[in-house]
Amino acid sequence: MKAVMMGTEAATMAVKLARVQVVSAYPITPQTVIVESLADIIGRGELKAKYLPVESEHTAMSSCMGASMAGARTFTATSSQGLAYMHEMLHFTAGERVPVVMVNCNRAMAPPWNLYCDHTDSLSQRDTGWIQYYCVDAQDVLDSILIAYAVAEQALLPVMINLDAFYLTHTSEPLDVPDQETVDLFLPPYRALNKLDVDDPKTFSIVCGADLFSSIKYKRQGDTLAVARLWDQVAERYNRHFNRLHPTVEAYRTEDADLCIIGIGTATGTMRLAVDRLREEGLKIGSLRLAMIRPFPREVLQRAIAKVKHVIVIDRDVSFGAEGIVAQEVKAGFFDRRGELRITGFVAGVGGNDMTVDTIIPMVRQAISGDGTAVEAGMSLWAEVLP
Amino acid sequence: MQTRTVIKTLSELPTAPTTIGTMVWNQTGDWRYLTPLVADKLAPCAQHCPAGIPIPRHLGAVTRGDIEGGLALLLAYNPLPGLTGRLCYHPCQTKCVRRRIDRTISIQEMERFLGDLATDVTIEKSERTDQRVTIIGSGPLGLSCAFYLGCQGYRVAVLEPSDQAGGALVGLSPGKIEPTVLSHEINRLIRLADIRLETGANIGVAKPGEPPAQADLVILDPTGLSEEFCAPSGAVACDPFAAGSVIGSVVSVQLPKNLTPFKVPMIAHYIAAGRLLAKKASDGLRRKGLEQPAMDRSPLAVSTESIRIERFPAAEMRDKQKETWDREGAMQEAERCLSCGTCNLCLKCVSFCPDASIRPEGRNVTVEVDLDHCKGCGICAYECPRGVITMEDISV
Amino acid sequence: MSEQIKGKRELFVPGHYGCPGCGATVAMKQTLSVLGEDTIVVMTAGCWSSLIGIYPYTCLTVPVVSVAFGATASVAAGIKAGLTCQGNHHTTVLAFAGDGGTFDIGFQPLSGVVERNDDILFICYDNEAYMNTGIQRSSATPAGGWTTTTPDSARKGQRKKNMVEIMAAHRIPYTATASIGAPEDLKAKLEKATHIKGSRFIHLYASCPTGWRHATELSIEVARQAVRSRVFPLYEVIDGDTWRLSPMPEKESVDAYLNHQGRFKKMSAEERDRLQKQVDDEWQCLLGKCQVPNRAG
Repeated sequence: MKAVMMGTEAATMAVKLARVQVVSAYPITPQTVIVESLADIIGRGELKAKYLPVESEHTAMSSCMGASMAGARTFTATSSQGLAYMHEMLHFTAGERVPVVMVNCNRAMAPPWNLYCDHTDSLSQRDTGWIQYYCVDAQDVLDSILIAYAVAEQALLPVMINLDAFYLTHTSEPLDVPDQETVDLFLPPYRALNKLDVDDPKTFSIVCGADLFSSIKYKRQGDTLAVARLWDQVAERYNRHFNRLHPTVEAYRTEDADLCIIGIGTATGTMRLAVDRLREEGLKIGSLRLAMIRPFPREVLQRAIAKVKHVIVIDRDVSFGAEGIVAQEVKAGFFDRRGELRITGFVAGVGGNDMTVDTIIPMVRQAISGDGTAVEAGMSLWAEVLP
Repeated sequence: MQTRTVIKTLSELPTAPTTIGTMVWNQTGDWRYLTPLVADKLAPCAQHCPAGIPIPRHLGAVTRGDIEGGLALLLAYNPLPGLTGRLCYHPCQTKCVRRRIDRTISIQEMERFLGDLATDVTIEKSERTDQRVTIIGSGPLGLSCAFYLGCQGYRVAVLEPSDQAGGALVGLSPGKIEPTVLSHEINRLIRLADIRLETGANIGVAKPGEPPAQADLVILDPTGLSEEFCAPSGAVACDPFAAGSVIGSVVSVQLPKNLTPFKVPMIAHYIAAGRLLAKKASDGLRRKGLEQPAMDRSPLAVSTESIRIERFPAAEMRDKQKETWDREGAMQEAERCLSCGTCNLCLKCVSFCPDASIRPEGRNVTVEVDLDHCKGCGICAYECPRGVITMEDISV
Repeated sequence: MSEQIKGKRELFVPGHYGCPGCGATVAMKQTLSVLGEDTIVVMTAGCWSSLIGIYPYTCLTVPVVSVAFGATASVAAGIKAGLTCQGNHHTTVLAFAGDGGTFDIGFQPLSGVVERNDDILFICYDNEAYMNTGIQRSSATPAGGWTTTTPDSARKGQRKKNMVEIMAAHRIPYTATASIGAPEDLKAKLEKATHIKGSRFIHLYASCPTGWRHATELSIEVARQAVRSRVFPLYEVIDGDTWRLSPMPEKESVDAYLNHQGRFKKMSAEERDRLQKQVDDEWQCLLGKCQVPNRAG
């Protein structure tokens, strides 16, 4: 079925198609459409689920964890400050190995208050153990949420699906809505193997001594790393059902490229337009979208741009005192090629600054020539700052 | 002690951080300085009972609705409860702690009720031996002695020269005791202890002073025979209340002065004398074969300060007026017993133990401490309202 | 009680790390003996999450999850929602938190959960300070009490937060106080609570010999004294508006209660008088709410 939907509406549609059983959320701009529409479809009985209109994000995540531990398929959505408020419970959900799926609408962290797109909120949660996926369009939102449940329930790890504030949450786009029957085939009901069960009583997350602590974390690390491959396998299965592929890494015109722009989120679409424009000028350039940041899809990334000599990473975020977070990740990913690969990082498009072809191209030129308007702070070049 | 299952490889490690077993392996008993000692003590009523009956025991059974069990416990100290329940001067009731709150427990009435039960009971008995004991005379002392020797497996014959069993109890006025009660009591006694009772028996002596019938041991019952029969030549005098075992094969019972001649209200004393004599006789008989261990240590009396009336729940302290002496009524009355010094499985200790280290023991008559885990906090001893549990230093 | 010990699985097994005489463990044991096997327990940082055992071993044989500090009520609500949507309407979800996890860090989620009237039983085992971390002040610590963060040089001046009134103000179906020293009353309240749908809150007074500085064998006695002295009266509130006094023993002065506990050792005569007056006033106020005619006893 074809439809026109905003990213948030696509998320709601995916939750409905996934037959989620418990939704627990606290409203925050720009996620509100999701919680409002979920409250409505659950209230009307279109989705047979329990909706917990909780008093905070900490509780939203706690309740999702509880419901998931009881064996239910759960969903929540948040953004920015709300995500930060969940922080403790993000560690907890991943550690309890419960397959919660959450939509995070990437919004700037205060202060100062700002409602617009910025990836620092979710990227600063990257060490909590959650799988992180960054969407590019509304179709990707809908599909990746369904893939996320399949991955989460197999890996027993929670997944965060990230949507750029407003660019994706509030932009209407045409998309294809899969039919329920096929979704049910792709995503059968959740059968929890390790749950709070009065017939098989166990105590979860009791105090652990040094003897086994490391082994527990090591095991989780192995299981988390394996998700990079698992996602692509599940995405391939999704592709067979619905004919749409959502891999962890998406490369564009990189086959013969010397130069590659890397980013996450909606701006990666714009990067392709910039690539097309620069290719017309004869520049051997491509672009690459990192859909997954955790686990970091290092092998696929390395393979995708094995011949590139210069990488330009555009971050809509910063790790204060270091540089753009994605740039750091990419640098770590290419540590083996450190002598031969040049990596230039930009911090751009934060706090409501649009990232257009006309802002990307000057950054590419500056990366090549060193001549441009972006100013240096530490290892990153910052666009859009006062002289 | 449960052994501990250990995770040895990564593959054994659960996916989520979930437990694989309990903490039972952890011997927290190592933390203990003082150890709770569970030991029944004599209640004030029992201390003053001429027959030394641990009264709260059988009241406890009745409280639980186990009326026959109550009778069996009573019979272990008194094989003629229907008689004592009518005749004894019951000093037990004057010492009853419950009297301080409302009114004394009707211990004697209870005894009578249990004694009059028509239903049969089972009692603990030892294996049969070949040793024979003949008791001449079927008064309360002789019957009591016969009962306990019978229960210990001796082949006991009671020879009553007259036509009616009961010795000094025969011919009491019907106002004191009905003949049917006497026969009911005696019949149960001989049936339970497997005794042969012969009335109108030829006791093998034509005149006083002659040696009586052939047996490993012959006992002459002063409450069953006229005085002149009681001291044949060759008989060894024996005071049941004195220390030591019976020596010789013919025993003439010497009762303390206050018990001679026979006094009806003191019947429980004669029953006690019979029981003690049986014990001494048994010790004497066994000595002929193998050495037997010493007498059981008699339990300590409970101190009245350790009966903490204020710790009993108000509900338990309500005076339940017994309507009639039927099973229900008996239970109601027995429930009023504070069970001084005697564990009645109130389970306050169990309920309050922070370490789940005290629980009813196998026979389900008292509690036992799990010394592997008891941390020695002392709550059980403090909370026991009857003084059964004390904290002791057993570190040496 | 005896049937439970004999017939069913032991829900609370020995070997845990609780201090000798721990009132919080008595609280759990008494609670589980009434709630039975069909119970899921959510606990949080606090004495219980430390004493329950060491991975991979536990002393409770019902399902338990030990969650982030403050998340007890919210995880419990989530578990209930998860069970309900799978058709399980019978399992009791017990949130079991200390005074820190209830009065303080757990306050906001608890308020949210009970305001929504989520179907959980929340029991606060109140030992009147952060005992697990070493006896630090909480908003449940009584005025005049010693803790390591309200040392003798600066004992607590503020009075204890009245959590039951706050819970009752949420108009939840059942709120009650209970004491480990009054197990019959606790049992009756738990039985009542399990037959009510919606949020149920029981404030369970649980002594702590380590933190209150009393002899270990007195844990139950001290809890009883708190009731007798009316420092911790027993009552219940139905639907937030009907207050009922529970069976109460004869009243006695606060002295016996204070004297057993080292934490009150430094209280002056004036402080004791002030406390007695506060206790008396609150007791009269409670009688008024319960519509019991004023009485001295």
